[in-house]
Amino acid sequence: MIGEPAVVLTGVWKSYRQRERGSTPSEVLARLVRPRFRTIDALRGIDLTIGRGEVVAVAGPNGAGKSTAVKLLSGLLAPDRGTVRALGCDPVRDRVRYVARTGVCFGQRTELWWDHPVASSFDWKRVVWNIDRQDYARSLAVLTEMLGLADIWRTPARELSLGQKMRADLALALLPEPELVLLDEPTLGLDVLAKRQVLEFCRTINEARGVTIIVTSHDLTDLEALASRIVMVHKGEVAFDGPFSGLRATPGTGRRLRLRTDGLRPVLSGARFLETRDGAHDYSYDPSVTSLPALLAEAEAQTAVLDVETHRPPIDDVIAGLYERWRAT
Amino acid sequence: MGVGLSHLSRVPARLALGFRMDLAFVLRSPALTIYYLAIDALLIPAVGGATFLLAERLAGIGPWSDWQVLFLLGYATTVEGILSAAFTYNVSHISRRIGRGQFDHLLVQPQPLWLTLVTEGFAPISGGAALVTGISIMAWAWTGLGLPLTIPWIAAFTVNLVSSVCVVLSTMFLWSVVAFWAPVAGEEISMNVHDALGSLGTFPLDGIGGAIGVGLVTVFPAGLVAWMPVRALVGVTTDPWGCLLTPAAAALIFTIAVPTFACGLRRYRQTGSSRYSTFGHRR
Repeated sequence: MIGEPAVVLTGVWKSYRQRERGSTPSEVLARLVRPRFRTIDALRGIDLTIGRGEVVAVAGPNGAGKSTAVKLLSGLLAPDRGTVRALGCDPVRDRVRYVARTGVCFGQRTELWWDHPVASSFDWKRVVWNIDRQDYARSLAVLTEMLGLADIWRTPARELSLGQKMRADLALALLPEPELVLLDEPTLGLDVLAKRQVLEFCRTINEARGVTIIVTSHDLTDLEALASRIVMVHKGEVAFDGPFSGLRATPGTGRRLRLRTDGLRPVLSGARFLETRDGAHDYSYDPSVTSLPALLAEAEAQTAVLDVETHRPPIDDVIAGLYERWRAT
Repeated sequence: MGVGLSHLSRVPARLALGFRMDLAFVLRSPALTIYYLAIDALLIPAVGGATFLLAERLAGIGPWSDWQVLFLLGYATTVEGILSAAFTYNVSHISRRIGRGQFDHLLVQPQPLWLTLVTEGFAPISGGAALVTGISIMAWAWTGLGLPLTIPWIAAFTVNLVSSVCVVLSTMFLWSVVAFWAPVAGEEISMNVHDALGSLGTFPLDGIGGAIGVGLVTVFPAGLVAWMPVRALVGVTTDPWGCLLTPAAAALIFTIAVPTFACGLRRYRQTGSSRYSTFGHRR
């Protein structure tokens, strides 16, 4: 962890209460008389500390509590129990002071003024955030160069592509040079190039200015290159907190083995068959349980092995495996 | 968090920003803007067209002369004009922002919420057509009525006009609070409240007595949009306190609206725009 904490969540609970609806007239009438509610525990006593200058990816299946966590950190929601401290502030009680030092970017929503050119939104931000003109000019020059804003500067926000909008939104969030940046699904729907641009930019501002970045995303392959740490949230609890390499080392995540044979698919007792593609057979195995030489010996006993490849699985596969195991439990 | 009155000094800069953005918006297509403003200028006073035609045909309505009715229509149009020029759609219909989960964008701005609400809807050019029309109608009626242009009258007129705007805005915010609990329904209700205030506000309501009459200046204060203040301003009533009724009612409604909205805001702090609310947001 780098320096003093930027974010400290202590025993944070957040629950929502939702009225259950009936689907038939009799059910609807019955629920009018005797309403039923269900309680959704979005976060269940989460403890989390994030140091200044860290880049942390928050991941988890849909409904795990990621967005609730970001909203708590944005000062949009208050916890039911526990405390949220960020940059030494209570995000709700000290809202005005706190949000002046944070940048928030919701991937599914835009802060841009819809009917105005991008330039107007930046002028708006300068006035509302009370940014000094010199600071504004300096920050804007950097953002324009790094995120390629020049070509969209005069374009109305409603005419921007998804990737262009995201770049503009990200620049807008970073214009006041915040100490803490919260990005909720910033790469959602972006093409490969736009995604790379956004992530590269995040890495640069983190390295250059020591900005703390908390990012939620399902694009974990991309995030692995950016974030030094991943916090996996499952059913409102922290299921994993550590480096990506630690996540790969969790039991059951395994390695991949690809065998190219003369046609026959070997049956390996120490590995799980995945698929056959272009004449190559893919397996998954746990190196802590089965050794590679043993698997190769078993395969060669059944058929001629022409080529062998082993590699670690993509992080998305690791996560998918985790989700599947969580669902099963 | 306190009220943050130290932020008052930022109001001029925010209003200047609103003016700049509105000007840029309008100038993107001058022809379209003229067309849009002309339609606005015609349609908003047209809401009271029937009342005026009746007054013309019958040489007045009840104790109101036709010139007084015309002043009433001009006043109501001016109230609507101030709302559309200073508190455009997303502020006066705050339920839209709440109902669509866009309230978050207001809360991530580093300024007190009141400052955002007072300044964000400032669009004096694109929203100014009704204001110009309303003032023109009032000026025309004023000459017809031969009212004295004295300082007390101007003061009474100004205070009442501001109070009427305050009544409409406070009422809209009161009804918009519903959106914190039922986002989509709240948005629809707020629209209907605005429409009803706008259409009922152009009628001389003297003939309506009893509970409905009381209701129209209390529970649903359409009578305070124009009828009650104009009665006093143009001399339909000679009650010396007549000019103070609307400001007093405005103060009362505002005093109720602020804590009620704050209550809704506390609810938003608990639920936000999560997908787990019983009645969800528009997406």
